Amino acid sequence: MSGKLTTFNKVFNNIVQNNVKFLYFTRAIEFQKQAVADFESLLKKTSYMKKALIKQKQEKLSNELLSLENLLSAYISELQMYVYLKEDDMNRAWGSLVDAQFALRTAFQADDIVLKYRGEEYWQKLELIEKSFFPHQTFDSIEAKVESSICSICRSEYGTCDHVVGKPYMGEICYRELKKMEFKGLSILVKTPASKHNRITQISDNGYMRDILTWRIAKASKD
Amino acid sequence: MNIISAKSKKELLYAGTASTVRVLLKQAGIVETPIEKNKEIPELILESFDWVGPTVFFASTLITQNPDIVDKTIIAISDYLQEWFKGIPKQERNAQLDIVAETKTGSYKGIHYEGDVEGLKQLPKIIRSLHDER
Repeated sequence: MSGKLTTFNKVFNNIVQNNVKFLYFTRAIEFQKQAVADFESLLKKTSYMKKALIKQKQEKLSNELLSLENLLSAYISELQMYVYLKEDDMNRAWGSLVDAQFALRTAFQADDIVLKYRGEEYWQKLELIEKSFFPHQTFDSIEAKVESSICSICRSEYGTCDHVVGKPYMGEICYRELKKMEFKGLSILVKTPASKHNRITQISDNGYMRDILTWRIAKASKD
Repeated sequence: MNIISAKSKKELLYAGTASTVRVLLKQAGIVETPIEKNKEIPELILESFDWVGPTVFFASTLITQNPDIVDKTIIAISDYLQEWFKGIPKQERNAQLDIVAETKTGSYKGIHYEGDVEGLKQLPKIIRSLHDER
């Protein structure tokens, strides 16, 4: 396995090195689309290698590969964001940026190996893109009353096992699957939402609803 | 979470992080006593990167007989939060925790903490000083 892992690391670093140069807005769209395909192919190889390590109960290494999987997902989403920006699809571009940020955060939670790939600088870059490419966004959030939830790692009632949310276990991040819950129907404006997908998308302006990202008229307002 | 504002037992809600904190305390070898008999109090989950902790109560006898328990509790929570906040910019890492401590004379003092993870480390000293208040 160590030989396979060494080969994998070389292939991984080579493909990453050859494609990170397309993670800039000015790079041509055809190269960026090709880079998405290359990273997606590498993501499959990484997942395959992670499964092999999980079979061998190599927890540290499988968590490292979980981190790398998510780093690749962040690269893919960032590239897709540039493609959508160039295709004038701003809402999808925003969605891709949020996906990139979320994947990078998961990469950090999984293992510190992401730091070797300049993870902190990368986070700052995504933050700068959010602030410079997109107007300020207003986020909302959901409150839910939860009576029962399941641990994603061992499928037992959350809180009765030893796993905790946000920690990696053998190549998987633990999260809660909410089972018995009641939405409180309350939407609150929050500064740090768990998902930046939840945002106010339109605003009323002189009888029209405008798209917040493009300022184009989305539809006539009912007001 | 809403132990002060709830008007009846039916209205009681735990913070969405209560189950996680229970596991952390168990892993740190701390025996915790829930206020309910069965798991009958639901948790309120708010979708946010802010970490909103539960209310932790320290009885006077507990602090007197086992002074380390306050430090152990706060360390268990702050160590977890160091990991949990990874990937979130430092200026956006916001943790909230409520503490109720019983004083030596049997009254109760509460504190609400809101800030970064580093600041949590100051809590044991504050909790002990609350315990010593009359």
